[in-house]
This record gives sequence, C-alpha cells and structure tokens, in this order.
Amino acid sequence: MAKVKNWQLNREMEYPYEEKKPKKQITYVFDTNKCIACQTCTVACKTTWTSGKGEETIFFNNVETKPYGGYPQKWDVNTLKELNGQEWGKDGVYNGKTIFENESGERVTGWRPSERNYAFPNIGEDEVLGNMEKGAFFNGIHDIWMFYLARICNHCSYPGCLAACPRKAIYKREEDGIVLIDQSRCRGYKECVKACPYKKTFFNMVTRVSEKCIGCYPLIEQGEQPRCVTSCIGKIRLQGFMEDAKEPRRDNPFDMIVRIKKIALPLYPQFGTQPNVYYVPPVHVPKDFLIQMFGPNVEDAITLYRNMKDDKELLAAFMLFGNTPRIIHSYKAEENYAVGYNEIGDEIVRVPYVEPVLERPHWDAQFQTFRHNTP
Amino acid sequence: MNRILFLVLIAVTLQLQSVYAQNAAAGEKTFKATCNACHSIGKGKIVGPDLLNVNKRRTEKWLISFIRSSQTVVKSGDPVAVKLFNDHNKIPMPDQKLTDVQIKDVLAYIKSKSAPATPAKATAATKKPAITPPSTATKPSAKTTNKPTVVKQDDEWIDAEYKLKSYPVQQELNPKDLNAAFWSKIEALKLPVSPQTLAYPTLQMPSIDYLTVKSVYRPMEVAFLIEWNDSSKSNEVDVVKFCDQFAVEFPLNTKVIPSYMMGNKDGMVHIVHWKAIWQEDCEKGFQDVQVKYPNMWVDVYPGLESYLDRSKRVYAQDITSEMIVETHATGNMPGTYSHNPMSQIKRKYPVEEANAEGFGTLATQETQQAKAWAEWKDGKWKLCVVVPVNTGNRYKATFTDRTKVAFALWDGGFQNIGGRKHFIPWVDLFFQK
Repeated sequence: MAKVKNWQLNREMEYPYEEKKPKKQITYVFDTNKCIACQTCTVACKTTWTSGKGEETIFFNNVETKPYGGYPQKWDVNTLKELNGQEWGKDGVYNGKTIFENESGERVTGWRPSERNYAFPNIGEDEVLGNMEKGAFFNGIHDIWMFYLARICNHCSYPGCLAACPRKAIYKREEDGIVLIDQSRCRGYKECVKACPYKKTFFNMVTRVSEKCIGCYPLIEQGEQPRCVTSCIGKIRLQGFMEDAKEPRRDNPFDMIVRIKKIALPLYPQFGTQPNVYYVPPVHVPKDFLIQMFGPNVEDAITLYRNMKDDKELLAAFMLFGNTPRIIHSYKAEENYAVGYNEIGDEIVRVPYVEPVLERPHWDAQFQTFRHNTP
Repeated sequence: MNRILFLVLIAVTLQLQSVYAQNAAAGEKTFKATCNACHSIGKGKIVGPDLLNVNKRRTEKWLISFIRSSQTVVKSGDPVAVKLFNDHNKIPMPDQKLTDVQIKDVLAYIKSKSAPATPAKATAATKKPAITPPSTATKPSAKTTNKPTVVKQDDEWIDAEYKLKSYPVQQELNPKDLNAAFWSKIEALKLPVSPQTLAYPTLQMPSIDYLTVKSVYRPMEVAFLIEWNDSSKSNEVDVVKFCDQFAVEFPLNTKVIPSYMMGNKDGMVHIVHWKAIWQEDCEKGFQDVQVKYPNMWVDVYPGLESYLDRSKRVYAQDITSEMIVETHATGNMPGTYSHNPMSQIKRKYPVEEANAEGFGTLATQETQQAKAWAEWKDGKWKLCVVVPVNTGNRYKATFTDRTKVAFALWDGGFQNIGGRKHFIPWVDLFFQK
C-alpha cells in the first residue's frame, strides 16, 4: 500500500497505487437546493448510454430522495456500516477508517448489493422523515424534511473500483481524470461492483462484464459538458475541471466554489476515494445528517449559501450553471454580468445577475386586441 | 581503499561459496517447489519481494522465523516485517513447514544465485573476469535472461509431490461421454486443494477439500475427468451470483517451469477454463434477461424498433440477445461490441482456452479447440475436459513424455471468482505407453 494525500480528509491515507494526478480532473458541482427530482438527467443519461439489452436496471445517473431513498437500496447506509463508525477531529482531520484501511484482508472494504437492491431505482421517493403532528401548521421552518440527491460516478481521485480490479481493466484517464472500465479487458469478476462505495459500477448480465458512467467523454473531448448537466432543467449542475496539485485559481469557477469558498462539499468524503462531484448541502436539513453526508464544513457552507447574494464573485460562479453546453474554464464577475470563457479564453456565455424585465402592454395596438396570459 | 575492501569481500564470498555449494542444490529444489511462485532471485518482484541478496539484508535468524510464520513476526511489531507486509499490499506470506536445515539450504541457494550478480558487474569494471564464481558458467545468471536460453530440455524440472499418469486411448475423446468405458479402468488420483492467498483478491473461506482426477491421451489431445464435491450447483448469471468453475493449466513447454499460479513473465502457461454458466448456456440456451426475469417489461430498446411487431405480439422484451448479435446491432451492448470474449453468446463447448504470464494477465486464445462437458448430480460435479496439446500452435502446451499440470476450482455458492479460488500446484503428468 502506498501513502497518498487526501485533501478532503486533511491527512494521508493508504491506497494500493502511488499518487498520480491527471493533467486536469473532471469536476462537477451540484446544488441540491435547486433539484426537484424531475429525473430529466436520469432519462437523458439512460437513453444516451444504458438503453441496451442487459442494462435494464443500470442507471449511471439517478436522483434519490434522502433520507430513505437509495439506488441501489440503502447503498450508503450499508457502506457506512462496513466502515464501523466515522469520526472527524476538531481540525477537520478524519480520524476514522477509509474503505482502503481495513484489517479484513480485503483490498477495499465494500458492500455487495443484490439484484433486488437495483429493482426499485426510485424507492423512498418523496418520503419525508417522521410524521406531521396532528394540528401542525407551516411556521416558516418545516418540522420534517427530505431532499433530493442527484448522483453519478464521482470520477474519484482514488477510485475504489480501480483499486479492487485484479485485472487492471479500470483506468483513470491522464487527460481529464475520467474513470473508465475497459470493455474489452473486463472479465466480469464484479470486484468493482462491491468496492465502489457509491455503487456506480454495474454488472451487465448480458455482456457479463461491468460498466460505469463514462463522464460523457465523447462530449468532454469536444469541449462540451455531459448530458446529465446540460439537460438539467433546474440548472443545478456545472461541469468543468480542477487541478488540485496547483494553487486554486480565483478565475476558475470550480476552484472558487470548492476550494476557495468551500461552499460545495464532497459526498461521503470519509470513504476516502476523494470524489469529484461536489454538493451544495441542502439548507433546511438537520446538521448531524448533513455532517455525516458531506463532512464537517456543512454549517459554514450553508451560511455562505444563504449570504451568496452579497458575494458577487461567488454569485457569478453560480450564475454560470446551466447556461451553456460548453465547458467553462475561467470566468469573470463583471458589474452586471457573469462571463464564462472556454479553454482558449473566448467568451462563451454571459449571464445577467438580474434578468431584464420586459413589460408588455395589456393592449396590442397592432392587432387591436388585449393580450391574455390564458394558455 | 575501496578496491582492497572489495577484494576482501570477494575472497570471503568465494570461501563461503564452497561451504554453501553442497546445500544450494537441495535448496534449489525446495525453492522451486515452495518459493518460486511468489519470489524471484534477481528478476524482480512477483508477489513477494525479489530475494536477490536477501542474505545481506537480513540475519539468518530473522529469515528463519519469518519464513516459518511471517504473520507471527509481523504481529510481534517487528518494524522490518511490518513494513514488508504493508509494502506488499498486506498479502500474508503463508507459513512454511520447513526444517531449519531446509531453510538454510534455501538461503544457501539464494546466496549462490545472488553472488554472481553484483560481483559480475563489478568485475567488468575492474577487468578481473577470473573471479566470476564457477556456478555462473553452467547456470544462466539473472543478467543473461535476454540472451538465447542455455537451459537444456527439462533442465529445471523438479519432481512434484503428486504424480498423475495419463493412459493412451484409441477412440475419439468426446467430453459428453462422461461414463466412457475407459474411465472406469483408471484409478483416480485424489489431490488436496488450497485456498488462494498469494495475491489479491484472496479466498478467505475455502469450501472445497479435494478433487479427484483421471487422465487419458491421444495424439494432440489430453483429457481429464475431474470430480469434486459441491453441495450447490451455481450456474446463474447475476450481480450477486457466482458460478462454479474449473481450470487446468500447463506450462507452455517443459524447458522452463513457470509459477503454477498463472505463470510468470517469460513463463507463459496454457489454461483451459470451464464455467458452469457456460455449461448452462450450452445445455439450455443463453441465459437472457427475459429467461432470468420472465415477468420483465421493457418499453423500448432504442435502435431495435424494427424488431417489434405488434400484430404478432412481439414486444421489446421479446427481443433476444441472440437476435441482436446475429444482426450486428450491438451498439448498445458495449462488451459485445468490443468483442470481449466474456460477452460471447454462443459457445460450442462450455470452455475457454487462454494464456497467462502472471496475475491479471489472462488472455483468451484466438484458436479455441478445447472441449468440455459437465454434469452435477447428488452434490458432485463430474467434468471432462479435453485439452489440445502438441498441435504446433505456439500458445498451446508442448511436451514429449511428461509435463506438469496445475488445477483450480471455484465454488460459486461461496462467491468464488477470479483470484478467490482453490488451487493445486504443479502435479507431474506422465504419459504411459
């Protein structure tokens, strides 16, 4: 086992391979506060990549309702159980075990789902925690809660799937950090299905090999964001790149959101894979639950999110979400606009902080009629 | 100053060389039977570390206790042992039931193999070829592996613990005839199996104790009849299901005997691999989605709309994988599309021929000639495997009157897969006249 640096845990950890950083790392930010679980991302992904025979129950992208939902069922609870309790130190250092640190004789600690766990992709949909008391009424803050969690492969910096594959059929691309399963080399041992803590590698019972989210790499190679990002009608997602070996750049929206402001947090960082999908935590959910899910910086992130309107630099980064299919490499907070640029510095998107208001007179002089909003 | 010290060292080495010479031969046998699968001497790390000059790195006392029970030393907190264990992916070295004398012989052998490597390099620099130890003249040193091999036929042959006799037969070897008369005339050899613990992922819960094997041969074919107890017949495909499997392995030739565990670099093995899911495919047809889940419903498989025929009540879930493969519409079946041998839908026999040169290197052969058939009855698998040999194909086993075979078994009911298997190291296979 090699020692690698995991910045999300603020410590070194064990990993079967030496640390080797890609030139740039594919990164996503998902704002959970804006997700309405319409599943447009799920369907966009499904029709693009997993509509074949043998892929009936495979969803590279899914949106589940927390706390009860999960695809596969109870994936997170089951993996957390295997870790046997986790603890964060006061200085933000993770003191528990990662999936790579165990005494079991296995390379990666993992939970293996059964076929039934995949059978209900949206189980727990819209279920809230607890019951409404008789006579309860809305008082500004809800007594009970739920939220939607959109999930894809995290294209981890230290992938569990890659660590577990005895054939080295799984690799992390040097050019963009996308993690792929070599479809001609895999022999279907299903070690990755067990090892991936996010359960985002899947066994195809017809081809008898495993498959996973490919980060829409054919789009990425053309400078476009993945299907699940561009199809999102709630504009909750943004995809781009980070380079965690370098100092954070203030003009990279991902460095700004994730590393400088720390408003978006990794999902279950305690697994130790250093996932690269970052979530703005839901503001209305009890802190204990969120800390278990997104680590110890949850409260700061929520405070920042609530005050984002006063932080133009940060706000500008969030204005870029869902407003261009192109990948944004840098951005600028202008007086009235957030401006996004591509890799060579050409402007690709310009978003006003405040949408312009157009007033249409009730009376249309040209057609001599009143305008109605009746559909 | 350095040169003087160096010459003193050479003198000491040469002196020790003679002391150790007589034991090194015995040590070589033990090394090749016990250590070879995981350790090389000067050829790099296999599973465990390269043992070149290990005699200089550790004391004899330390080595003896580590070889006896590495985990005892690790658990005692010995920093060297703990570091070794961690550096090698925490794969425990199995305890070795060797006597002190045997271990010392092995160390003598390692020493004799280690000695030439360093001085040989130094001698070239100091231009004193005379001090090269005599052993290098007849044995290829670690440095000469790139040159044409000087090893004679069977030079590295070490007798194995078990010997299997293969008998000649005249008739065609049909694996489906599991009760052929000639099998009943042969006595079966019972071989104990061990759990694979040398490389990740390891088998933590062994469930099979032994197998029995018989062998017959014809020109260019060797057949085995294997039987083992397995209370559950595991032949289904699914994410949480694993199937029963068997594999037989040959060295590619008998000049160099590679590691019995999937071979090693420059030591390729020929493997024939049977799987119960393929047996099921061959007997009852491909285990398709609608076969496994008869109540399934699919709205549409994009791109396959032309297969649908409402008037004949052909809906999406009625489209079989076979239909898709036959019409080459495999764009949405990535494994099939990339010609992964695992994704092959039709097989004549439930078996695959492959080669390997170490862990994780298994590769399917282009020419598939092996045959097999199996039957599960009353908690027991009975399997006949017919292996093509001496065919002139460079990826298949070649030998004259003897070779070696190793076996592996997987118990699907206990989630055996890949390296999670039971194995039997090299067994000597003799071809009777």
